[in-house]
Amino acid sequence: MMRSSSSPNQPASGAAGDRDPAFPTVEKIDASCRGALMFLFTAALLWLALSSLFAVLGSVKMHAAGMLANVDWLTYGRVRPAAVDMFLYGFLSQAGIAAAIWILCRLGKVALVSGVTLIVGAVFWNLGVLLGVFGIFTGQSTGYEWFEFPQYAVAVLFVAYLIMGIVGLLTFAYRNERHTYVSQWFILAAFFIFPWLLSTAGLLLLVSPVRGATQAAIAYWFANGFLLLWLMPLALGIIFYMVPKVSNQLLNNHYLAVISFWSWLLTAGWSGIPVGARLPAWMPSVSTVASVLLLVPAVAMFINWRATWIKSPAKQEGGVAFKFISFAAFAFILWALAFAANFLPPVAQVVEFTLFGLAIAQLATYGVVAMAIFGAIYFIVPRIAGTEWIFGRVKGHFLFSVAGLVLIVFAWGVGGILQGTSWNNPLSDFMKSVRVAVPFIGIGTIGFLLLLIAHLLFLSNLVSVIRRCCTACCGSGKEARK
Amino acid sequence: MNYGPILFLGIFLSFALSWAGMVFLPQKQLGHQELAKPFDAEALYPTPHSGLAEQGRQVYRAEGCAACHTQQVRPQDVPQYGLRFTVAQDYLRDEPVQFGSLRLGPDLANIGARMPDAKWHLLHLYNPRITIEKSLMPQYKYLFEKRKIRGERSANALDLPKGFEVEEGFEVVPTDRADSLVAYMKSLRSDASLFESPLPTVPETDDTNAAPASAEAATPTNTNSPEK
Repeated sequence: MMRSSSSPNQPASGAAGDRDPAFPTVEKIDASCRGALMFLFTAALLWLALSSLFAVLGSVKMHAAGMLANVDWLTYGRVRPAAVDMFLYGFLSQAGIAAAIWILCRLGKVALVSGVTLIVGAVFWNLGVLLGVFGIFTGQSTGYEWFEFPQYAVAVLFVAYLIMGIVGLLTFAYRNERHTYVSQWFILAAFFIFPWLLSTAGLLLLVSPVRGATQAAIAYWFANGFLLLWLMPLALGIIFYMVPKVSNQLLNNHYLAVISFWSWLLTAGWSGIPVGARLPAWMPSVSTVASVLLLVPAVAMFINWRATWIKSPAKQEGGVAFKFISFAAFAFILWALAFAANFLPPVAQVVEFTLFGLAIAQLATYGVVAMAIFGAIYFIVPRIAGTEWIFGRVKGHFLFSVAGLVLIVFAWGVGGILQGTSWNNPLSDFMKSVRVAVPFIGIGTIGFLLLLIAHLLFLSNLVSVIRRCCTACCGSGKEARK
Repeated sequence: MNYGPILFLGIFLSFALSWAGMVFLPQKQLGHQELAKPFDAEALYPTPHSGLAEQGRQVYRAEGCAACHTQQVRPQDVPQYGLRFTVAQDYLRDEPVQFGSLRLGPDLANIGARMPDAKWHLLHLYNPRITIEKSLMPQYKYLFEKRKIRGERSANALDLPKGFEVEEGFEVVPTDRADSLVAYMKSLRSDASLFESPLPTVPETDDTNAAPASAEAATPTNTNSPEK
């Protein structure tokens, strides 16, 4: 096979760039990213911690119906979407953008185009999330799942995204290494599709809403695109970068990656309409076909990653990050199977509208996307900040995250199946299905509690890194006085 | 693949396909749907909701009721939730459409027909366990005002049953938000007989062999399609 050091199936090892004097060194590239990326990561982690706090509150409210019943902004129907949106927009999107831009810099062997512009975009992005969350808490939610932020917040997010997205695209355009790699394709696809998704949903649902059930069709399309064509490609871009990088191997099969990329892009946008949706029958049917077809790129990518890391004798570099990345890879294939199954009519007959759907969404957003991003942050931050993580807390973060996720996915998955079985029993009344689900909702609450602990550990670890980084940079005077 | 423009063109085309198929086509098919004339009524369906019910829809949206309640009756749900399954036509006047994706509570597409009693809804919102034992639903006490009785008890004060009463000399009255939400609940009925989803009716002939639940039997013979 054709494999050379500049082959497109290898993420930047840094070596080639170091040799050519025209290319900036790896250290220079990382230094150019430092300020902006640390800002994005810190803000993202704050949203993550806040979101898990509200997720716990929402989950506890399921067991204590009378708790805080006099406070309208803390009612379950506001807390839950607020927690989800903080996670999706505040953490996943923000940290995903940051990690993606770093990968674009490293693979393009180019310094970040403008860190200051990126920070300006990031400030607006956080303002947008803040406004959106404020809107949900004050009862201005739009009522569309994953798109609850009111119009003004969406407008701010859109502008903020354009600023950050343009920085990303310019960084790509000015790349020194002209070969492009599959990570870059996924990231570019995400960067290009996201504003299209956001503006379509914003215009057709909020600014000048379409009529009746068409709203639902577009809301489904948006939520599906947000996961499969925005968050997932960011995560896949990270995994495709990290797997060869950490195992110190070339990507096993470049051509398989090309096929996976295009087949993913062609099918993903057609999924998302649930089997039972009250829409013309062709829409759910198309989605079923697309969801099953999505298994092709999913399996192809998983095989490719596995074949790559299995060749590695030892995971020397970034072993901590690799734990998260490989977990994300396994979660990805599991999710793809569950996702396809969920769209098969006989399965949907039982699990539709049950907790099972939430379990799959949690597996996708947390198990795949968040875990990949965690891995990326653990890999990137020491390189740009020049300080190491406290290893014990990373280990704790991993354990609590995995335990929490497994509990939630298991509990909601099983609870959902039992719920659906109960509904399909003509002799059973609705309350029976609720009583069946209650213990599983309880297990889910424990899961969210574990996730909260994990995220607080992560946040405290980042704070410690930043403190040491600042001491190293500017605190030398103080040290001298001591 | 080292050419940015080709990459972009590919991404653009594949996403444009999805946009055309899942945004443009649905809008083309459903966006100009017209009100239908049901088999069993003169007024065009869906009939407009009252202003109060429209306000209630906004309360429903703001409080995130759709987090736990769907408004879509699938064919398999018919025995539990309604006389017929719902179709796109049913949502023509809804803004926003609140399909919902999770049923921790029952479906509400037809709740107005299933439970038309406003008093029941008010008690249920104030404390769901008054009406449904072991309900998981949160209490919406903030939609009500607890106040001291001055002179006579208010006419719209809730009749709280034993075990749920408030202190002596106090009463609980619904706020405008609660009243409008209940008006909205009562307006939610998908019980017009539509061409796409006719009501199963017993045929008027004395033929006892006709299956009353069959959808075909329900379709009146004088018309095959809704009036355009």
